[in-house]
Amino acid sequence: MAVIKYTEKVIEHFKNPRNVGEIENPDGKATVGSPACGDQVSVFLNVEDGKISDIKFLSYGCASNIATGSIVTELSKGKTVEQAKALTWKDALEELGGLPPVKVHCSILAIDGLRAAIHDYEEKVLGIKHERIIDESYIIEELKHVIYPKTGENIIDAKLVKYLKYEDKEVYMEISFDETDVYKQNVLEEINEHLGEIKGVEKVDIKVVEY
Amino acid sequence: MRVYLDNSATTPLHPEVLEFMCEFNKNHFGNASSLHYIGLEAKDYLENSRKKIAEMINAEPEEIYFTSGGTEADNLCILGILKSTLRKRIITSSIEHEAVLETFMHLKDEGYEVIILDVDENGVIDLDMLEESVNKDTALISVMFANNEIGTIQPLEKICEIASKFDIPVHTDAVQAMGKIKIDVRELGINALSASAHKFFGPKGVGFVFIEKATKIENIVYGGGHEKGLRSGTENVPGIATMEKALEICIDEMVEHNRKYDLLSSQIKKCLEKIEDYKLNGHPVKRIPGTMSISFKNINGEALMEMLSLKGIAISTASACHSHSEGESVSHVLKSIGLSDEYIYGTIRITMGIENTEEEIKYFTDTLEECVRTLRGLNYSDW
Repeated sequence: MAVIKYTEKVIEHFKNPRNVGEIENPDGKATVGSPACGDQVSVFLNVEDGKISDIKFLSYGCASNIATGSIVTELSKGKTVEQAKALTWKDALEELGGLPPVKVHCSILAIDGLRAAIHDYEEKVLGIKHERIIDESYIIEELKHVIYPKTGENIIDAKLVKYLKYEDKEVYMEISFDETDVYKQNVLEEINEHLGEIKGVEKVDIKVVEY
Repeated sequence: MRVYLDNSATTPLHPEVLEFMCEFNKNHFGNASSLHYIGLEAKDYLENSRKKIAEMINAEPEEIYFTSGGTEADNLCILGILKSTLRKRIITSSIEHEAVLETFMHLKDEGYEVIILDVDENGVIDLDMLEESVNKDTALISVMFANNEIGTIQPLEKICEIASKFDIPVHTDAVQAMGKIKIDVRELGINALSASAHKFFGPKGVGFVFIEKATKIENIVYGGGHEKGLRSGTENVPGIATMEKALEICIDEMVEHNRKYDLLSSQIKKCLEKIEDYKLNGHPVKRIPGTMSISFKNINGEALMEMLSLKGIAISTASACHSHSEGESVSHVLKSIGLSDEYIYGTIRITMGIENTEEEIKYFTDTLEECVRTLRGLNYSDW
């Protein structure tokens, strides 16, 4: 009996997730997403000699969310902090043998969680201050975390964003959808969610161009 | 073990119905409009089914029209009734099936004044609000018989009573109620009703509407004038005859099935007591048997559904990761009854069928307990 859309590996990691739990007084920790959006991941990690010596995660999410959390902890354990930072959701996806396009966004959350936990470690333990310059390229990077469920691509690569400007703490963007696109609302919600988290963004003005 | 507990999504064919359907398809393929003996025979079967179905809901044969299923039935009743009047106010509830809600949203765009009735925490519509909403301009009230997610039965008699003050036709989507509880259209006083065969162990792709004979309605599809012009298109005689057979069996065996559903429901409730932090949704008494909507705190319903599915158990969930489903990702019904997000995302629906056994439910409850424990162990959430 199988949930047909998933690969064997996804199912295996869903049924037996690795590295589940919390670490007490971790060197770095982060919680991304929120249960009110349907999924959330927390990542806890310890670093020894520049390497991730221990990592654990907790998830409030669907099968793909849990499986990606599991694979991300597996992929990053024992790696140097720099190597772990370079991990992408594509690496996780490849390792799992793929996910259905509508589920790809669930895999991003785990990578976001890992990066945020490393970020926390760098600030807390290494005392590195992350001065972020918010500019258009930063906004674009952030928008690459918004997935277009129809194709599984991010909205920048899917070329949905037709215009983007960042000025006076306000983001102006034009985004195009087919008139009958059922994913429009979902994508718009995710854009607002992602941009809303950026401190330098106070207002998001989105114009939807239907064709 | 395979356990199917999603009978509100669709039911398997009743074994007797399956046999009947195969035989009927083999022997009676005729077009009921043909004038030769094969066509006339099909016509006889068609009219016989109409008569029998009418009897089962205390209607008259000329008040029954056949459709392709529930969605078409709802569209026909709503759009057809509105075509025959100049009144422009229409009323429905916030927990209707999309077949009704989306039709109303379309009508709103067309310029109709749409009023959506609130429901209380049990999912029962606000009768005071209805009372305040009806006026001489009201063209239609459409309120479902029983809800597909939480099972609550609506006070249709009272709705009809309120409607009668302004002579407003009342339609009810009875897709989830037909075959599960006794339905007497005269006793209720409704003008129109929709039903679908695949929800009562009949075949997919066939349904029917009841239109009370004095109720004005016009056709919404055009063609050869079948079903007295109200629904053109060659009648699906094998589907209709099979639907009649399925409904007959459901009504005959109703008491027996409902007794079993009640027993299985208490078996599940007993298990739930061991699992803490849960809520049962819907009206505690006025509900269709065999439908349970359970919300678990700190559980992602989709993960629970997926985990149960891997263990052979088929249930449904009220939400999906927000890019998963087309359109709305969270149940509008659960939002309407005021359930908080922490519970909405952890909601599953169990709907029993004639084939379920105590042994199956035992397997289900054991597995459920185990899965809830596993998922709660995975979970980190500060609600």
